[in-house]
Amino acid sequence: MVYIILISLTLGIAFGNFISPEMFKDIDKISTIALNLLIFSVGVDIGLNKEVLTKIKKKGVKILLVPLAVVIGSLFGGLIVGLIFKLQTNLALAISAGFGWYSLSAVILTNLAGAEAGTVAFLSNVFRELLAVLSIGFIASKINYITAIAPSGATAMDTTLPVISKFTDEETVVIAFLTGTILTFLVPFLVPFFYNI
Amino acid sequence: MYLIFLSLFLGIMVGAFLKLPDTIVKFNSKFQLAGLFLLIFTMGIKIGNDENIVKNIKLIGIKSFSFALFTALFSAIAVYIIYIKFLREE
Repeated sequence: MVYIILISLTLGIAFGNFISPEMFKDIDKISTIALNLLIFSVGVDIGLNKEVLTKIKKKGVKILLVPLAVVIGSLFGGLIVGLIFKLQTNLALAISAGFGWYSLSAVILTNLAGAEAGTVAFLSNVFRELLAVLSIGFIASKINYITAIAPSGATAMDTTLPVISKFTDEETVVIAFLTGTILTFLVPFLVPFFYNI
Repeated sequence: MYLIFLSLFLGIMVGAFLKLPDTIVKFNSKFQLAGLFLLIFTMGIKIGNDENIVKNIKLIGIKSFSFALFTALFSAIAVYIIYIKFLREE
């Protein structure tokens, strides 16, 4: 399964190198439609499973610890990268607070800190999404389902949710969606906040 | 983004309230697999087609990859700790 994901991704990248911008517009549309159909289909799975709600209720507000842990872990990881590459601490934290949402964090940081910082934010968060796609299966099978949500960050509510759904159970998918949604709402606040400290 | 909420909500309603025959349920899981590959394939196309990425990858690739790796890794460690301490069922 992980190999097929890797092959799909590599083929896509190779193919993307050769196509024209017009064709790309159509592919962007296809991608949006595919994503929403997939999310619908993931929703059907959740609806079919009658125990999900009871299980989630049992865990209650403790679920909110998952997005909190992703925030803390991401910022800590970014701090280390900042030290390794001798970057300004505020910039390193701001890049990390993109949580994989590359389009928005890149726009915000381009406006605040210039094109170079914006590009690093963009590429860092693109890589985070890729890393999530490639590591979810491994983490889900070798460690546990909940931990498999972590690399996705904000993308756990959209692009990486179908991958999480493939490798875990309905309960984890609901927690992942909640985690991704909370992180998505935090990005526009946290990126400028950390840049300005 | 609102489309995502709508898609998920409609999906949950269909799964919870319509009596879906087994063939549809089986088709649903096959559909997910096919859709997943299409999604990841188009994800790749977006990256391969983006000049900004192709052009900058040599210059800032290692730095950017380090950000991705360390943020993902420490997020996973933090969530793992939370799971062991608070969320694990006995």
